[in-house]
Amino acid sequence: MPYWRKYRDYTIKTIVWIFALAALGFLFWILSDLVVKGLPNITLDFITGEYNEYKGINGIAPMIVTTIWIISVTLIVSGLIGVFAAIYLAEYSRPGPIVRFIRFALDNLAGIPSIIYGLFGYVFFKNMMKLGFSILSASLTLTIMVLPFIIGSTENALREVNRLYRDGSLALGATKLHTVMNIILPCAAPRIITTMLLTVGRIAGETAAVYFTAGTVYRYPEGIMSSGRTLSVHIYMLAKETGRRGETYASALLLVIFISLIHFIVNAALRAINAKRI
Amino acid sequence: MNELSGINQNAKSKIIVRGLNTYFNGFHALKDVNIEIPANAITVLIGPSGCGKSTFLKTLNRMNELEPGCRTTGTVILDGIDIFHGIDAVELRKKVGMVFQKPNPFPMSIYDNVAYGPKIHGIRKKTILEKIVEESLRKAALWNEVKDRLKKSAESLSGGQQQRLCIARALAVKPEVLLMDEPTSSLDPVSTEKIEQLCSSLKKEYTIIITTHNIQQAVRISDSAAFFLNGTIIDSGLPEKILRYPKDRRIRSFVSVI
Amino acid sequence: MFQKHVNKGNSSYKQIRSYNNLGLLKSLRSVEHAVIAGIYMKGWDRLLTRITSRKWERAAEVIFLLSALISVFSLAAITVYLFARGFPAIRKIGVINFMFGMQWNPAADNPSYGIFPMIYASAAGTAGAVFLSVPAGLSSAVLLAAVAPSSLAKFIRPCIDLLSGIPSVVYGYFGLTVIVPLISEYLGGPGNSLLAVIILLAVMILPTIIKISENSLRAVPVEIIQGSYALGATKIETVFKVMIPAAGPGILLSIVLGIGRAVGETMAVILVCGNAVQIPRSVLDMVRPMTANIALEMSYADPFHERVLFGTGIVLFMFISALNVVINVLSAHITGQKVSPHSKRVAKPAEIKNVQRNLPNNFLS
Repeated sequence: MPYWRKYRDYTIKTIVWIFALAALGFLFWILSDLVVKGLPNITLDFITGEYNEYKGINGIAPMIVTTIWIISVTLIVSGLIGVFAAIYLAEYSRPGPIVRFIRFALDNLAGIPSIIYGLFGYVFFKNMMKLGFSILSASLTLTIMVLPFIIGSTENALREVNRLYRDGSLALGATKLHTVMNIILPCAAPRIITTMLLTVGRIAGETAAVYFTAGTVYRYPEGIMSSGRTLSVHIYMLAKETGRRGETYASALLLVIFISLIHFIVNAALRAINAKRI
Repeated sequence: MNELSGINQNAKSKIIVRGLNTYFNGFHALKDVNIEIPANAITVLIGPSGCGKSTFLKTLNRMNELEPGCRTTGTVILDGIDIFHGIDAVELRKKVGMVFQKPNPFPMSIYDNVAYGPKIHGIRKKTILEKIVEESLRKAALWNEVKDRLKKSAESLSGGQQQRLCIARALAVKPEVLLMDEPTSSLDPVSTEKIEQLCSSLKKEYTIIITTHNIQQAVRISDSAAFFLNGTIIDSGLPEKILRYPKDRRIRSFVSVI
Repeated sequence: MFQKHVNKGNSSYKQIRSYNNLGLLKSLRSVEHAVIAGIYMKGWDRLLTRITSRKWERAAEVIFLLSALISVFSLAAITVYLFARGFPAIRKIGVINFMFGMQWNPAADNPSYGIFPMIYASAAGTAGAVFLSVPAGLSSAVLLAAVAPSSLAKFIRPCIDLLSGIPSVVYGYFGLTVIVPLISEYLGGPGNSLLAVIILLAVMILPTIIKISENSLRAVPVEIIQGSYALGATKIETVFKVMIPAAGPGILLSIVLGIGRAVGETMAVILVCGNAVQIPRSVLDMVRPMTANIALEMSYADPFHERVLFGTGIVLFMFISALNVVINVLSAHITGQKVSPHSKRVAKPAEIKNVQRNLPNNFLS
């Protein structure tokens, strides 16, 4: 091999490494910055305390509670609709205009930015349906937002269930519904659960759509109809003010830790599932 | 029952097939199949792969209908009932059990696998279920091997055991006919022999139809045989006659190749 | 899962166990078993025998269908409400005045509603981000798919997932407290600038580009790659002359998806863009993209102003819809491609499409 080819290979390889390391370096920069500036400010009082800018209390407990509320309601609604829709697509649908419509809608919904979802939730759920700024408005808006992900991923999980189980069940005289509920869903359950976990991460991190539908009130929510401020909206509100660096960093770090934890669990679970499948 | 008046049901025939045609999206998979399946006997369907014998088997419990683009014409009569019009597919599959080429136990315990069928057909009493499970496993000659580990995963069994579990699972819904689609093709010789013995003992109670491409096996276990080629039956009758001393040139070449 | 077949099953299972000796994996597998067992508990199937009696069969199918149709209704509702709210305002201002007007002054006595500077800012920010992100993203994808040792790749991949999981508001805050001061100190200007937007967006679309490009590179049939080696090409030559051209549509798809995400990004951008409505003369000038405009002014807008903001949303929506057409064409093309069953560690076309549709954080703006 002529020496210039070796030389050229070497150069290109170096450039590839430099670019890739730069990309990774950025990640570690962000994470280390978060940890260094956030960790010292995470205290028990901070996590369990209330927040009031006038009284100078800087806790985030109400935000955590609101976030949990929104995650739970969204997960229940979108999980139910999403899994049912995926069952339809994977098990019942026949090729035709209806399925094309559904897939077209899902593909398009997946690309819409969250600010548009926020606008829609603001007009439709908050104003038209008279739900006001509330956990319910936010959850319904987020439901539409996460549906394409849940449906797509669940449909794949259902399709990956061994066909032989399906045939075996049907040959015993089971109805289609019975086969789906007793064989296919339980087999796909691990994958569906990882999908739901990822959805949790996404909901926790969402800001724009929640900002327009749940409001920014920093008190404990009393129920599904009260408004509230999620942790990510709280970070945004704090970020707009100066002089609150420590608590903002601490809130951001907590959120990132929560989401990383989800990613870690999902990664390990998917590896276990895939290992089994080989 | 007027349409059936032209067909005389022989007392000994369990299933009568007349003019059966099956198409998959225009592909003519079964061409004018006519056959009578004797009751309480083993009928072997033999032929090269892709000849339509599995398609024919799946027509008998209407599993083909689940494939998109499948169309069937003709008549299949089971105990005087037209299976396409006189009975609902789910009812039919209860009467006509099926065992597949690859053992396909559900990813549950051995007990749950066998109890699955009775449960979906509405039997909920634990004592009855336990009785059915034991009885079915005994019939499938598996009881002695698994009675101590009924709660263990069915996937922990060996291939041959899994296949017998699938037979037990099919027996648990108390079928009258048992369809077996190359039940031994993925098993070792010892397991194959066990399954063959099992079939011979089961034929007292059930009508069994087996597909295979193994001539020796066909001759060993069958009471009646039919040779499939390109979607039609080219010869049927006693296995000795059509497989040992085949008249048809095409069967002779198949038999000599194997 | 569970496609393990009995005969081969046991040996490959053992192999995997020796391969991954992590206790965690084992415990997770038992969790998985427990999940299946739990779902198949007596209560559940007793309930189901009751529910799944024959007369429910049809009802269930209708319920499933209606659930699936919710997506169609939602898309229709979003389109209708956005247009019903925003379009009359655009008509009143005039499409040309709205899209190409230079003045944005909704609070004045004689208000003007020109959003061209914002369209410009969105376009410039996105273009800059793609310009920075594509070389870095493609390099990382090449690294992961071909150059790096697989143990390193196994470590990097979850990091990239994590990068895509960080909420955009956190990126924004990092930009505000770290990148903005750095720009102001070393390059001058206020720091809040188009450059800050570009850097932030570039980082945010990196995971999209890396993941989908890597999957497409992996989907290149091994025969083609071996053919190249057989002709005496080196690894790098094979990557750049054979794999990247073969994975072209997938890489293009990753870039288009990145564009979609960058255009729609809101919360990160708002914190670093400076929010001045102007056509920037350099990358160090402040800007205000369309998304930031909507989010900033919505809370205090009077009714007509609000409608104009919905109009801004329409422009954004139209742009995203156009991108979606491109995305669908590209992914249809990819799904249609044949992938050799022999290639090692192939990402199935369906998987690529899946990543496209389900990319976590695709619209976490």
